[in-house]
Amino acid sequence: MADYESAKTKYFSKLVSSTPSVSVVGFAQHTLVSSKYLSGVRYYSIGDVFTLNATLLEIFNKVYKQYPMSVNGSQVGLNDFNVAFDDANVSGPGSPPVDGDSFVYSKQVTLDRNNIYHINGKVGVTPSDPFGNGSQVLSPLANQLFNTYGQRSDRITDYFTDEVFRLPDNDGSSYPSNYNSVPSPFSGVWDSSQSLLLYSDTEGLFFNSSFLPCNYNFMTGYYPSQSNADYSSLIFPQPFVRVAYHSGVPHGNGTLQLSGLTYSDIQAAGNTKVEIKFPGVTGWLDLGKEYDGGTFTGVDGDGCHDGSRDIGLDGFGWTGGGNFTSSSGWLVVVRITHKNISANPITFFKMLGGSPSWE
Amino acid sequence: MVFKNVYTAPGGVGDLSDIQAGTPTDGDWLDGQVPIDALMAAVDAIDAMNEEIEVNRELISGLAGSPPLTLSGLTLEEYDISKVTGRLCSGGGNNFIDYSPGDEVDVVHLTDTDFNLLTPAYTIYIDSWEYNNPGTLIVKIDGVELSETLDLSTLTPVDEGAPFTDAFSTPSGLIQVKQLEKYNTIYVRGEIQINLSTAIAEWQVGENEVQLILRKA
Repeated sequence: MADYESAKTKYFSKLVSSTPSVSVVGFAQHTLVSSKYLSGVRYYSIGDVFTLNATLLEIFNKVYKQYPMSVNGSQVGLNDFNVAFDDANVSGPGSPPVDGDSFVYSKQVTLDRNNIYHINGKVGVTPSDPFGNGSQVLSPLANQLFNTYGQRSDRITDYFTDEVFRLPDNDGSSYPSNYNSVPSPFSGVWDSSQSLLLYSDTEGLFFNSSFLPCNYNFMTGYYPSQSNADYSSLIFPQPFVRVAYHSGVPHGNGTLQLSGLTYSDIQAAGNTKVEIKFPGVTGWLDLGKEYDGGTFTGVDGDGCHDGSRDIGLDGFGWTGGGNFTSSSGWLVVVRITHKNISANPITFFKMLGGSPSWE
Repeated sequence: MVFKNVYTAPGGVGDLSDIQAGTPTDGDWLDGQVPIDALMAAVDAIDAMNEEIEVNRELISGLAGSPPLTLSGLTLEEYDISKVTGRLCSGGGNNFIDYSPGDEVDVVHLTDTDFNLLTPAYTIYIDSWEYNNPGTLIVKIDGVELSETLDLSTLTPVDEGAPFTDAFSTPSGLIQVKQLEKYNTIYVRGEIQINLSTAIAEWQVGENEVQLILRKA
């Protein structure tokens, strides 16, 4: 008898299915280091320390994975990371792990992920074994506000996650500010840590990556806690003022994109008013009113809407009626005013178009 | 070679030892390699030819070309096996042979419906001189031979290059003959698939070893 035997093929087999899971996730403030504010509301930001807790189940079932836990910090400003079974912050498993060992993670983590804005950020934990992932579990609802953006706004753009190009009340009077002269400087003058109530006639709220009408009290129920953001007494109108600037390029027209609004929103019957001013040259020109060359003199309330320059549903064309930014410090001042709580949030601001182009 | 009782008739000859080789139709035996004459017993003439063939067998094999690979030491190929990399827990009833807890190895989940090993195409080698007893295919898991085997003598190889339309499986599908053909005149080669998902009961939780064996009597 002769046997011809193949080489041995070896496998480690697992006969019973199991799926790893997460029973507990916690994400709580440990040390508040940053001083990030927007419209007087405080946010967690880069450098703040949180305690991240997670308890995972069915991680050690016959076999296990080198990195059985992954963390998604895309809502809270934390770079994603994986946790090894033998991480120093994991308790439970033996060395090597025994079938059925527990997996409990607890660590102080520092926010380190830029360009995140979230008003109810939660951290996600996903368990896994060699055969795949279990379901991600998010930390509980905690009304934690996260903003790890630096400056995004620029001379013609605003994402409402910073207030670098925001202008305050300039005449100490009630609404409206006049801006009869060219503002200088026109950036870096707003103090985001101050309550909006200090800015008597420019007190519109930037929140949730938008400029939105407000009557909220951020002093209770929102974290990190703060003492100056009870906006339940804010009254309407609630304006926001900034410039569109293009050094050395004279502009007499353009298109103002305001994502979230349509033209009916900014007309007389709408909930928002949008005005453009060549400081020192014109009054507040109404973008919700059609330009009429026969009557236009450039005083407050004159219409400046030029439908031929509209772009899409939220790009509103305008004309200066023969006026140019070369006479107004290479800029126009834009004032957007929410008239009441029903106004639609604006999620993006950009001055574009025009001849020559603003971009 | 056995020809006993090939012909028995009342009052006639008993077997080939009772008859002479006689004169072939081309006139004589001298034009051949084996020394046979007309007066030799037929059984001796056949025996002489058989021995000549055996003497020249290696020479004939060389003229015919190389044989295909045998199963010996052959690494079986994976087919439809879904495996992952994992580390091994201690305890939990895990079986260990060469591995140790904590090792990172290939892991399979045996509830998968497809789990096959395959010999490389055209490698299983059967000497056609022995094809009347080509052998039996056996699967061995963790040193234990499974009872479901395949006697290759029940199958007929096709000519080299011809499609093997007679693909054959053992009752549970454990051993499947995908190809069996003649090769280089005097060999037979083939391709065998083992469907291990039919043998889950034979597997242990933990480390397992699989082998395919061709056993010739």
